[in-house]
Amino acid sequence: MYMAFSLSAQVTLRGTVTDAGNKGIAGATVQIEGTSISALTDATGAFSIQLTDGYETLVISAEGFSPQKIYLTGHTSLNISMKSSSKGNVVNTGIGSQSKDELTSSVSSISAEDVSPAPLINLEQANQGVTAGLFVQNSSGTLGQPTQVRIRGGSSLSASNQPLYVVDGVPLTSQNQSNINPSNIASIEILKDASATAIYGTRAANGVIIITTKDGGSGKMQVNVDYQFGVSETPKKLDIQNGDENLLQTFEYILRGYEDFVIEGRGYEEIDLIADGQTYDNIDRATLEALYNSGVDEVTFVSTFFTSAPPITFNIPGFYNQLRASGSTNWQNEVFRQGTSHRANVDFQGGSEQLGYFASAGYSTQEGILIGNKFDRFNGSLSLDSKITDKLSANLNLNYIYTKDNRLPENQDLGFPLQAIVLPASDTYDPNNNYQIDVRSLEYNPLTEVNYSSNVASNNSVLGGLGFTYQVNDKLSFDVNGGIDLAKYETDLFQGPQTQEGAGTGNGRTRVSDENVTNKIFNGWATYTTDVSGSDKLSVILGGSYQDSKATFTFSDSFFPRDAAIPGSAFAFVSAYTRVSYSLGDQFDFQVSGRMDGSSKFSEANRYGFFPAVSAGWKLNNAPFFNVSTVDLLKLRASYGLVGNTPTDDFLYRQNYYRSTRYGVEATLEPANLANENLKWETTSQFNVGLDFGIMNSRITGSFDYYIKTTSDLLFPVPVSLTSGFSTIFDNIGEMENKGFEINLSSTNVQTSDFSWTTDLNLSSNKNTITELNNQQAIVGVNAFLEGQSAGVFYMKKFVGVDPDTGNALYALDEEGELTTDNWSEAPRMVVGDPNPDLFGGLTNSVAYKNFEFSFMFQFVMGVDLYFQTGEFLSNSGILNLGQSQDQVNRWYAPGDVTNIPKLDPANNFPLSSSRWLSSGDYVRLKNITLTYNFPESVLGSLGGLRNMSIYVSATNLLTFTDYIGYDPDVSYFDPLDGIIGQNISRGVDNFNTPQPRIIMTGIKIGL
Amino acid sequence: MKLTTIYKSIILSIPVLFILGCNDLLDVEAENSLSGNVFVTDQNFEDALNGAYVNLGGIYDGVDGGELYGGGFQLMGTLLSRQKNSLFFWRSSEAPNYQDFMDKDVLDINLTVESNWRRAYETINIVNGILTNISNIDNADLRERIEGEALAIRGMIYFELVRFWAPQYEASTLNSPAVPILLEPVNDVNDLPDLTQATVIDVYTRAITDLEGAEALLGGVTLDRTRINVDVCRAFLARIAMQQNDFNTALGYLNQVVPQYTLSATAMGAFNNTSISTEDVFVVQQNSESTSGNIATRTGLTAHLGSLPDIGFAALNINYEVLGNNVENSPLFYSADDRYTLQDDLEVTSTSSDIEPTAAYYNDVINTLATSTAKFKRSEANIPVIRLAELLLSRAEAALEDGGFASPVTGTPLADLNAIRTRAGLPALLDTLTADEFYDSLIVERNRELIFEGIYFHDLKRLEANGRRVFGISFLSPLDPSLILPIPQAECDASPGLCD
Repeated sequence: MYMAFSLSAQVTLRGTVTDAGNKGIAGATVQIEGTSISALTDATGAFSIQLTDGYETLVISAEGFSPQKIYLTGHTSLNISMKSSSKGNVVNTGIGSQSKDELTSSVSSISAEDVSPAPLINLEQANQGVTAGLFVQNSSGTLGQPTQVRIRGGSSLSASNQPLYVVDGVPLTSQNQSNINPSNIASIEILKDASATAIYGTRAANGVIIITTKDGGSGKMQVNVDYQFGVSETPKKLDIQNGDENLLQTFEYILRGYEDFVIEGRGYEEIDLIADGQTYDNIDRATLEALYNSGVDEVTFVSTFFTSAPPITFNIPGFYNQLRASGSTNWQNEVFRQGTSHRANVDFQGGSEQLGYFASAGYSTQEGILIGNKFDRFNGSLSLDSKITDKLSANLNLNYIYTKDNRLPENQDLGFPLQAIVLPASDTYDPNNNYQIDVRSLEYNPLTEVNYSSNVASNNSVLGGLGFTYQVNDKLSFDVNGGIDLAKYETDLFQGPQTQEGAGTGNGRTRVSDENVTNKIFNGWATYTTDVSGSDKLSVILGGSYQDSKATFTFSDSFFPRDAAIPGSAFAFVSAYTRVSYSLGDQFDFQVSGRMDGSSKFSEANRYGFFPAVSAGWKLNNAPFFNVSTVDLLKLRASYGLVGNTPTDDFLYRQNYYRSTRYGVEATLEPANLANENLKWETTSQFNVGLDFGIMNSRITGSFDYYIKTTSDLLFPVPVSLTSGFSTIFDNIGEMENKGFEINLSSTNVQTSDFSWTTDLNLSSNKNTITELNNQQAIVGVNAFLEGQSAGVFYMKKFVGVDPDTGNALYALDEEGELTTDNWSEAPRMVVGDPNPDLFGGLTNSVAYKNFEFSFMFQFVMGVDLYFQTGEFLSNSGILNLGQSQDQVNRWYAPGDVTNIPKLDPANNFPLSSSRWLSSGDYVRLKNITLTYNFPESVLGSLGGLRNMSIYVSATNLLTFTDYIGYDPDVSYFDPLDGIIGQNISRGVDNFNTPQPRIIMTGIKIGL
Repeated sequence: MKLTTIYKSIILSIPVLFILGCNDLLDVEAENSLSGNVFVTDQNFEDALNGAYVNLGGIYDGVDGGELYGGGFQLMGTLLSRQKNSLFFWRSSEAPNYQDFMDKDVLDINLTVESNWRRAYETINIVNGILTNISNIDNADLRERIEGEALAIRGMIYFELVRFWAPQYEASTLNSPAVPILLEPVNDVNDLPDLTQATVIDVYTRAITDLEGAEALLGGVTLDRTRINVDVCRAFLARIAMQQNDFNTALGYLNQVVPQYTLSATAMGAFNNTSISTEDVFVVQQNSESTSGNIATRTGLTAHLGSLPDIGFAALNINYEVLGNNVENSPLFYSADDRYTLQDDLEVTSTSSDIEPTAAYYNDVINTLATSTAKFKRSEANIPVIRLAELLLSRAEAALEDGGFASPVTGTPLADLNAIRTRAGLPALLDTLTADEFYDSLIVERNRELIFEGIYFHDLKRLEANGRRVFGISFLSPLDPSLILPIPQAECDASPGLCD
């Protein structure tokens, strides 16, 4: 009977296996699950296979695609569309992966295809605007500068707010995430809510970014080669006064100086000016121009108040040589340049069932848009996957990184090229005389620095891991792995005797600093998965890890005969973690996770922290009552959990001594801090609700998340009696909240065999508030940490205009600005803006037509303020008689002038920071636009059977729509000397920052 | 089934094993850093003592300054003692925190006051750590030397604290509140004691007790003149006695110390030395690596007072002429005085090595109306803290006072003063002067010899308290409360009740 049944039902199933672009996949395996019956697809992706009853389960697999299971229900023909394996179904959540379907937490994925082709040097920049919840802000367009990344806002005031980066299972200490070859990245996962991050325990408070590099393949060796050439330039030049305008300013500078001297110094009270036989009672703009143009060389002042006071005459050229200048130098043109870049990459992938390999080598060299700035990088990688026995497999990943960064001085240090824009345009320089400025010879010309110094930072790093998986049976497996993150940074600074710092040294000044990072991780876990009953599934992960990270530093300066001993850094974490997932039918998923962390950064009593999380998901679309056929997926998610953050410094809980400064020739030992045994973790609790949906056969998919993230026990420096020898200690005192929502939307607008069009949109909003700070505040420059405000708000004197009678700047004395003062010191600081954006996101459109692909991505940031600190010198009414932006011409000259730009005051040498230079930093930017042509099969065939070949042209930062007054709104200067707290406070400041370059590039990719 | 149980127990034991087995793994140490009780090896005591010297000498450590004997005490004292006018002024733009001293209006938020206060107590905290654990040193000779040096450092600092931050020592102020006395180390924030201001007499007593203790301990130690030795203790005890107008005690100590030293051949020869000179009793040792500051750090004496671009930013602008004019508190230099030698041929391209060894002043190449002192022209040279010239002038005064202010002045007072005068190229005074005449000359000589060393400020206070007012300060009595440094606001905020 059994045989009869089976015979009667035998059928042949025919079909095709295609990729997302409807192109047939050759060599895909179609197998009946649980049997050895299988078939391979032909060149067009077609297959046929004998079935027994038409109700089998098919498993379709193909290299580079996620395997699919199809439960047959009497089909005789079937078209199967495969999804690329790096995108979509399986999400790497760090320790063990989870199917996206069952995911109950908030995780964003970026697949290899989404990583921008631009020669942007770091990975963070490539992810700007790509997914919700991830705010990326460049510190500047100077190559090799760090990029700030915030997942759902900052969660700490004194510790780092950067996410934890985990590369192939290794949590980084080295900051080398920026230097991973983007071509090698298989996927990037961004873990945002507590449920996702809890398994990382401490350090996960700022979210976790998991980077997975490409693995070994199988089959015939495939070779990919690509090359790219790019040209970058400044996206904008500022409107700066020319030489003539500059000289007019110099003329006024001189006259105002005389005026001051006569009125203030001699007490003439009210004066008239006599020049060329004419009497003027005011130096208004017309007078100034007339006198300047007439070439007047003698002016006389008489007191109209004390008529008996003798007239005072000044002979202008004799007094002031700056008017001799007659050049016309466009300093922007002297320091900006067109930078070229080259990037080449080759990788090999292949192997057998037993051993798969992936190897790559990449080299890129990029010139900055400012003279003297260049960044070279070499990446090599090797990945091996070995199936040692049926049950035991091993995986090895090695990434080698070498970078060489021709750096520029710090923005604030003399010699930074962009500072040249405040040199007077009327002046020139002499390349034969150390580029010294001709007339204003005391001003330092950055060209001198660039031409007579070299500042080379190199980075030699290895990132790698070796892991073993032992699959005991289909329910239980063990994983162990070990990883290393080794980095050696060296900075060699040489400043020749011609430079400011090297002056008087004879042979110049040399400074060498080294940093060696040794970070090791050991990790082991067991995974147990079982079907509990019917369709319920249970999965348990239990594991432990140990991380040990050390850094040592050396520094030498040719000014000093001996090297200074700098205290190193060291920390260790020992952790145990578990995650239990339970799927109830196909409707409900639950997950409970927890991690216990021990950290060397706390005293014995506070050493261990426990960070639990729970989450649940409900697939409404699978509920019996759900009956909307167009909706394929409707999943409700909720999670709550805790994660921790440790202080930046290693041993604050105990008293440390350091051997450092020497006295004469003797070694010394000095206390480094005051112990605070009570120090403990900053704890961040996060509540997240989310909704995932897919409609019309997943033509439209998306997710929505809302979260509230509260960090308590914030570590913050608290004043302490100075008699302890210290002014502050770290203590857990404050509380901060981040609230926001995130939307991701993807739509396949058109999908035909020749034409497709997809749109992806992401939007994020975050509101950060310091809810408690124990009545402390911290101010760095124009930013502050204040209770009840966003972290880093702009807190400075509020500029409200110019007094039309005196030309003095007016500052608000009260919030409303009703009471004003022209005494800068008297005005109180006020909250005048916020460098944290209200809303940001990105919009990507991709269009494919036949062999052409076209995509463009807009990225935007809204509701953000920036402080144009450059303006304190460049746009400050002719301060110090520096070169000025064009708008300063419209300053106040004489009583009655109504303007927003105060008078030129030669007595004022201080920039007097105020909201005068605060500007909206909102922008919408065409971040990327790319046109690609994929050569058709016919051409590939004629070229000797290439697998694929494409060429593209692309542009980065082509257009920016903004009202921002500076070069570029995507900048945030931070002073390395400020330390972590200073850098957390001081943000949204543009202090001669290099703009993000506009880059045009073209390239070719070939698959052999 | 059985297998599953085994697996389960293995799985469950993983976290337990990790946590229990790995506690030791968390005990990591960083390079060049130590913790716990470091006072366990002799070497650590030596190194910690050197750490105290580093702070005492204000060696730049990148924190927030506070140069103490490396510049803070000298600059605060110098600026407080000088009249501000257009010919002698501080360029606030270069070093705003010192402007208050020139203005004689020192606010409690002044950062220089705060940093010197903090560092003074940091030094005290280090020596308190040494002294509390001193019994851990087994070798008696070593223990006595280290204890002696540590006590001396503490005594010196309490003396400086009380004379800067409290009223001048006199009968009416003995019980006035001064500064807190801490004798135990503070290692943990929970160890901080409730602070109260000790009285003037208590702080003086503390300083004297510490220095006398040091004197006794160091008496048998071979003199090492790069560190604190018995002479330094006695010289400071003499300084304290002078400040208390206790001339007999001062004279006793001075008579012990003075014969051990000889004056440098020239007046300027006492400065900018890279090794100990015959005149130095105690110096802050500096070299290019270990210095209280230079043009790069923008701290220390050389950076503030030097005007050549390679050494300083000329915060103090001195009109050369004014030093010879008869204005308030003038040193009344005249041309024969070696200490008034001006080198005026420096150019923009000159460096500090172009300053002649004999020059006392040199022209400011940027601000051509000003000159700069050459006393601290090298940031890698020693800074004299107490030297024979001061002791000779003190002995002259102490002997004169102790001898009943008798006229005509002869003997020790005359010989000591003439030693200073003749070295500077001035004629010796005759033995016919009345005590009043001699005294005027002596005080002007202190002003000339010790200018920019921060000593004369305290002299003006003690002279006033001694009823021998010579000069006021910017038309104020030297005892005016505005010349007493305030306890920093940050200290008052962090130590409730201290400043009430």
